[in-house]
Amino acid sequence: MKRKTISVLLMCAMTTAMLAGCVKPSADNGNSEVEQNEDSNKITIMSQDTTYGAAFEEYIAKAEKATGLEIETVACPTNTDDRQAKITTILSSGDDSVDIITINDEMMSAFKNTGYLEPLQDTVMTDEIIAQFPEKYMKDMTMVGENVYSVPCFMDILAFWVDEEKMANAKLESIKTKEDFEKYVKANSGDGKYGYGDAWEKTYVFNSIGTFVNLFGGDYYDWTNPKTQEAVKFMYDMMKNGETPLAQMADQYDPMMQKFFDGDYASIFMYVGAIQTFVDSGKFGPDKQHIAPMPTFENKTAYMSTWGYVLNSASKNKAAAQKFLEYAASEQGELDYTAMSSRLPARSDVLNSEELTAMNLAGLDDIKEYVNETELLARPMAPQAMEFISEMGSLFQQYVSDEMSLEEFCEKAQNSVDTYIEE
Amino acid sequence: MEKKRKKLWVAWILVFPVLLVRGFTTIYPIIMTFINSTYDMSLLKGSDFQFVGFSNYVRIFSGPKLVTSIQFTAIFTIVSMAFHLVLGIMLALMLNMKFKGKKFLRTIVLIPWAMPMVVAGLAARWAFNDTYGLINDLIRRFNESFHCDWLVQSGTARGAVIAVDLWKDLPFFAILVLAALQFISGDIYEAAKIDGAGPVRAFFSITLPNIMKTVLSLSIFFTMWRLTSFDVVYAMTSGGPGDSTTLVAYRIMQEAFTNLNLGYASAIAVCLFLVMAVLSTLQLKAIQKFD
Repeated sequence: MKRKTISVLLMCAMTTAMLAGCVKPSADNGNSEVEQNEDSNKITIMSQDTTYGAAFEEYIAKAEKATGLEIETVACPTNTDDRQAKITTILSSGDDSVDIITINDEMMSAFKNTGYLEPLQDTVMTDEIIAQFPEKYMKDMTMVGENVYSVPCFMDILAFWVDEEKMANAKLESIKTKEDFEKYVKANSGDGKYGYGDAWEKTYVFNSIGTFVNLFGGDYYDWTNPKTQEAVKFMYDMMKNGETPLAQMADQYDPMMQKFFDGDYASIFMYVGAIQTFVDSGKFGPDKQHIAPMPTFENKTAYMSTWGYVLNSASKNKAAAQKFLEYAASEQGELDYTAMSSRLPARSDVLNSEELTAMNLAGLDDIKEYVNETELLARPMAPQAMEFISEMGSLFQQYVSDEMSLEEFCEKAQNSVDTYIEE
Repeated sequence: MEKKRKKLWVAWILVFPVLLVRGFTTIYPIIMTFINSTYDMSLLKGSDFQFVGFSNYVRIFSGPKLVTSIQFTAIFTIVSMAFHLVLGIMLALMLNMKFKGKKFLRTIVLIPWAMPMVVAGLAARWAFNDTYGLINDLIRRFNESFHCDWLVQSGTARGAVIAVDLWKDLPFFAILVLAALQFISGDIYEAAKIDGAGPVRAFFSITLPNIMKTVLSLSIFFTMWRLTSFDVVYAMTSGGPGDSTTLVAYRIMQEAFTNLNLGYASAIAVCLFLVMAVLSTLQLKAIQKFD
């Protein structure tokens, strides 16, 4: 009896101790009242660029020299889900161990409305500076009202790539219009080859869906718009006509690029940031596989995306962090970043500068043409970005697999937009 | 008496740290999961979490994505377990036979089980590829015109996931059943033979009853592992095409760590916990019948 009593008491004590922590769950994110370390010159940056190794260390050394700061760096997880989870945990819990973090568009759209990020328009991203970045993109992606939350470190564009050797099959010299595109794709389809290739895995396909919707003059947020519907039907018809394979539903960008290199695809949409992979394949060149100007359907548009530096609102070293961000947003900072990563600078003045030309980046002239001649748009994002992207991708997969009709797809897509965008 | 009391106190003092650690690492998270499941906890909506009672639970059964996950989890568990039982016992009987190379075979048959599931899943993603995969390459040696995008169609993707799960864990199940077979005395079989029992009769009347308790005990663990399977889908299909191969455990991961809906994910986890508790209880009762 006594033993039982002691056992029960011990269990109760243990459970009570555990339950003492069981209050209403809360995430204690930092606010503007965070006490600052006066005269601090040390900051911590969490960046995905640590994978550049020595080049990243050199970039940080240049930043330290330019700012007089002592910069500690922390690596981001390389897996997308892990990275988002870790960064969200840091920001939402008010963790001040990291001052600056590099985030992508998906995370930007998630965090900019949460209060986790410090606005930068009064300190770093002044009107003069922000004017150098793509205006529409900055407004759609990095701003809430007048508040700017990010300093883009590089820019990427979802460009149109063609295989010049296959132009002759369509008797074309260039692809300028929708009709040219259709002719090129049709002429290069058959015998296991496809005129157009893509990555239709459910978290990737939204890039192409949006690209076609924009080219057709539709609106990704309005699935009652006939032009939006026409764009998706166009993709479906290409698959039905054997001009693009259904099998790419399992593909992300790596298999898509491999099939392009192998000659299975005559054209793709792919981010220019992967240009080095094309160069390394040995298939890159003006008479081989290269970036082509975006054809004009009803519009001539392309998606751009960036990774940018954001300032943790819980940071205790904001003044020091702002010094780094000023450097990152400056011409020299952008050039130093490009020197490290071979990625394009986000500032258009730097993109057109002689210093950048002297770096001899592959495909630079083609990319400049995109910036100068093509309307660059931000991708459609929701605060719950990955959930929205995944749901739209999943619906599209069901549509192209004939598991639902176009009408049903558009209805469910609109429901998805209404759920995630309004929230 | 004094000595006994001292020993008891010493025992509790030694066990107490372990209880504390266990409480902190298991009981506390379980209790917090229950609590979190009653809140609308989304880290992307800011830090003010609202109490919503059982709304997250209602959402489970009204959300088409989760209903799909529950359906596939049920199919995956039942089909995989059925094959585990039938093929596992067959493989164990084969490994129990006397033949040259028996020991070598018993060793190499465990190689798939020794491989991390994530590695197996990633390899399977490529193995089932129509253009580059070894599965279709093997089939094309017999049928040149064969083409199948295994991971693109819902039905074949589900089959592929179940096949990989079987390939990975079946040998382990078989080895454990083999251990039970080793305990059956050969004399019983001899006596049965003398009485005129053939191999089939001997299997159903001697072998199966003697290994049934072991098989049922293993079934508890293997069923729980199927219900909580996550890594095969994570590595192989990412839940696609669409959501057709999303298991419940993968859905919990997506909701918690991709979509950051912690409250909803906690509610799904609590439901899974309850299902597992009920199934374990039923299986334990079944085992008691063989005592």
